[in-house]
Amino acid sequence: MLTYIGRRLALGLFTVWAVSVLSFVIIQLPQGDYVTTHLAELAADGNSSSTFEAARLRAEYGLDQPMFVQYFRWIGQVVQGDFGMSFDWNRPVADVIGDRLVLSMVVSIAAIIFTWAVALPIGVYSAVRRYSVGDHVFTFLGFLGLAIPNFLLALILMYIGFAVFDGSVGGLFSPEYENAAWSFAKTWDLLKHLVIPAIVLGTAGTAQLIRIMRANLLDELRKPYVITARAKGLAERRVVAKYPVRVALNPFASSIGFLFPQVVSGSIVVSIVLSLPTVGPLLLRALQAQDMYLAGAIVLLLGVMTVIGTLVSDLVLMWLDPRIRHAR
Amino acid sequence: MTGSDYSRRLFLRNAILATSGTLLAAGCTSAPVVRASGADAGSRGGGALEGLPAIEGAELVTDPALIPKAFREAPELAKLVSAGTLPPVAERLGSQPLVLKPVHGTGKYGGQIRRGFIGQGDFQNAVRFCSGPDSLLYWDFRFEKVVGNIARAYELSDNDRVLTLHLRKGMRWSDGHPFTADDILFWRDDISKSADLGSGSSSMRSGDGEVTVEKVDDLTVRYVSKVPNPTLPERLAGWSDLAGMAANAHLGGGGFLPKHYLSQFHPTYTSVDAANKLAADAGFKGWAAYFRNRAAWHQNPSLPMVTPWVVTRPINNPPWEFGPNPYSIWVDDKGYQLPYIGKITMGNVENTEVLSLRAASGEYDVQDRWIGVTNLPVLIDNEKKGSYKIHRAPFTEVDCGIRLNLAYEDDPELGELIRTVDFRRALSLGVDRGQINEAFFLGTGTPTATTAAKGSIYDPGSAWRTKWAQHDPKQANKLLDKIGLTTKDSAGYRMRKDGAGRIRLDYQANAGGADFVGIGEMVKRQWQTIGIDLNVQSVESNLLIQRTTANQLMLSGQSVGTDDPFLKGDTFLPTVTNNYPGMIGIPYAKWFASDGKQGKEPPESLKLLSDAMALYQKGLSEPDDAERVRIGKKLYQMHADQVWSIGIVGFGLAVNGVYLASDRLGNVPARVVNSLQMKSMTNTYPITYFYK
Repeated sequence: MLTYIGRRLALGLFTVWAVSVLSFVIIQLPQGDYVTTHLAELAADGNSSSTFEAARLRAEYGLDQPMFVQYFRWIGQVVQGDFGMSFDWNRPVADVIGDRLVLSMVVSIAAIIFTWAVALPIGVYSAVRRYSVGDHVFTFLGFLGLAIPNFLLALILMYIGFAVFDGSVGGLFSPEYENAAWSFAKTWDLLKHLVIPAIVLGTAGTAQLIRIMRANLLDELRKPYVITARAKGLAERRVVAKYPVRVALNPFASSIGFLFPQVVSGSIVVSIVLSLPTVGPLLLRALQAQDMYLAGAIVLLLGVMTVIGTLVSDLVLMWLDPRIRHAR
Repeated sequence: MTGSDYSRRLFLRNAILATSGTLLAAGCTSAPVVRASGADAGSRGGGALEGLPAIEGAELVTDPALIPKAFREAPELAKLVSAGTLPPVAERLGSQPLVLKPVHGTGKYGGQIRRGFIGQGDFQNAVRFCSGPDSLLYWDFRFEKVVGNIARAYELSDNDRVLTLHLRKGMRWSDGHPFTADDILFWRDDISKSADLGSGSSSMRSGDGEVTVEKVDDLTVRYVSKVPNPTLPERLAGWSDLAGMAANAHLGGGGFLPKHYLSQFHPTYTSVDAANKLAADAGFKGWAAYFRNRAAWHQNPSLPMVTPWVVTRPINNPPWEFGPNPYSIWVDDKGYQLPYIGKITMGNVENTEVLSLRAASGEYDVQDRWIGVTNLPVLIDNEKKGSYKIHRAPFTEVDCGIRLNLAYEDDPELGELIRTVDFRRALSLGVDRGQINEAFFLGTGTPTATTAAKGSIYDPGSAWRTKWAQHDPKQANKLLDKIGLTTKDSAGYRMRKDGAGRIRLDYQANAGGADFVGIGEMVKRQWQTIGIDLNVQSVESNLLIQRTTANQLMLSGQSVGTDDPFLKGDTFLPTVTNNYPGMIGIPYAKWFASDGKQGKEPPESLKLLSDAMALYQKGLSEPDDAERVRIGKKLYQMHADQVWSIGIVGFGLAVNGVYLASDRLGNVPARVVNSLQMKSMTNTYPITYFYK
């Protein structure tokens, strides 16, 4: 048991290291570097002083060094808990990410809650009332949610919010609350802004969950213990809810692993469209600007989350299923 | 996350931006069509749309009789005074404040302005709105003459070789420390000339030598040039690295810096070790990086400034916020210290479409940046609902043109063609400018060759706007036949002389200001009729810079600077050696900049370009204003005649041409000059805005 966990941990560490190398290399693969991004921005604002010293900036940022030197400098700091200074933000990377991490989690958790709250009851209903009109309607809606690209749905909902409900568009807070201390009014404002992202992010996952739930439950419903329960005269509602639903829920445990990274950055495209102050847009901008320390730290964080998530879900499965426990 | 995942997301992002634009446009029904019909006369600011109000703005008061004697201040500052934490207002202003007569009337104190910005790259957002401006000199609101600003007055003497600036008596930095000539010398000697910090400051070069800055006394500074330097005041006033701390200090420019504060980070005043230690403690690598950060208005709230607002919350911890500078030198003609509105909050928005939608729903009190001309119908449609008014300020330059790399060499035959004047003229005649104006600019621009706007002092006349710029495929085909490109393939495209297929030009651009990639696609279709094939590519701006400096770019779509040939020659003549605006010919720019030591001399076919550069140099040191203007006109004529770039649509609204202000705000000018030199929209004077 302990050796199993130890091996998983060692593998996890190796994976994280590999992620760090790959991310650092991939971030720098496109043409140019942060200095050219900076030059481009200056040029866009009519600032093209021809004597501007690009070479000097490069040396200052250490961008003139070979890539492996840059990598070891960076990873050396990271190991000591220092993620460096973001070129673009001129602030420590940890602060920049920290600001947005909590809000990212709020958005993702809201979406997950929405998904589960919608998908599980519908999945149960669809299984119990298989091939009924309701089953077809819900299945259709679920697939529609899967088929419509997130960004399109986000745009449409945002426009409806603007044109019909006159609400504050995009973001997670109205301007007046953005910088305010936490209060009931601010929380209410946040909840109002969470509706659209939760629906948009949630609908995409709903169809999949409905199908899994439906299929699992259908398998269970055929089993003799359900028939026995029915034969004993238990109420239909109780028969379904008490036993087969609980068994059918098991596979969800194994998907916990994927939820971890998703909680941090499961919403890049939607966050950009809706202008949510989450980690997603931060990552995109860092990649575009080749702000390596920031982008590297986020990718590394995602890697760590995936590894931890996988480990947790392995452990949960092991605890649930003796066959896995004894296989090693 | 994998590489392909990333590129898929990038692709999706592009799709979003494209789709959302369409959605916004589709969302409105009766789109008002705004139509240009030439330009009106008027100020130097040039271009205009029919039915636009006249240019207006706050008037600088210099008549001693009209200068107020008693001063008043905002209630929140008065509170600090009575609490004893701040000296009285008269003491803070000094004896020579900057007096403005607001455009519509005296305002009242209070309220806050809400705006949007789009991330760390958008640091100019505040510079172009609430920096004052903080340049030593500035333009009057008509963009006609240079007037005093942070410096009270100036004079040119000794055949324009000596510029004397007079500073304001008793003027103070935002922390209360006196502002003196030493702050200008500190910048010049310890930053501008420093190998670690300086931008080299091309604006401080004149003829073969450097401009020297001398302190006469605490309030008087002299700039001495070796040859006549008549445009130096305009550089101090406009958009050069000399023109203000807010825009330039973190890049090594600014023109002046708070010596009493910044010297603690400068090794000359401490030691390299001490300066490096301060930097390391703050997490920066090396003192130079930290100095730049400490000198950045948008990033360092403790930096003393002379701007009317100071940063209270930096850009990198949004929302970006500003509070009143208690030592602001601006007062209105009744003696009220400006700004009337003490607080500005700028929210960070991740994309421009959300910003436009927020603007349309009235969530911003003032917005000018990032609400492009393509969203104009939606914005106008929602004026009532959002309780705001849209104002239009046509640009003083060419919004959209095709820049040509005259020094292109990677494909020798195509390079030769680009250097052939009849080929360039044919390309220009093959462009249907009206169609592009309607499709991409909603008809708000003026079809034009690369030349100055009507009303500009450098305007060579309206005939030059149509020079080789009317849609005339017949004439174009004739010109192409004349230079021997007569063989065509089965699809009607002209063949190369070396037999390697069609003549196929490369056009690389990225969206920004306008849909330059879409415009390229339209030009590609238009050039079919003259048998020239165009390969259109969407390219990231990073890559554009790299390809420019490597001299690999052939054609690109962008705006072309035709505001003022001497102040903004960057895209107009080969003057930039290391950035995308210089794509007209990087090797040539290097050759001219180094007096023939580096780069490449333009060949015989571009002799006129060398002549134009000589004229440009002559104009820069021409003390006779009338002669300089004549040279400027001549340069525009030569550019239009030689088609060194293909101007398409100009003097429209694509570049910062639309601004929106809440109905509740007073003193918002109905129209202003839209020019980089004016740091537009700073010239709407937001310090005089107030809530009615």
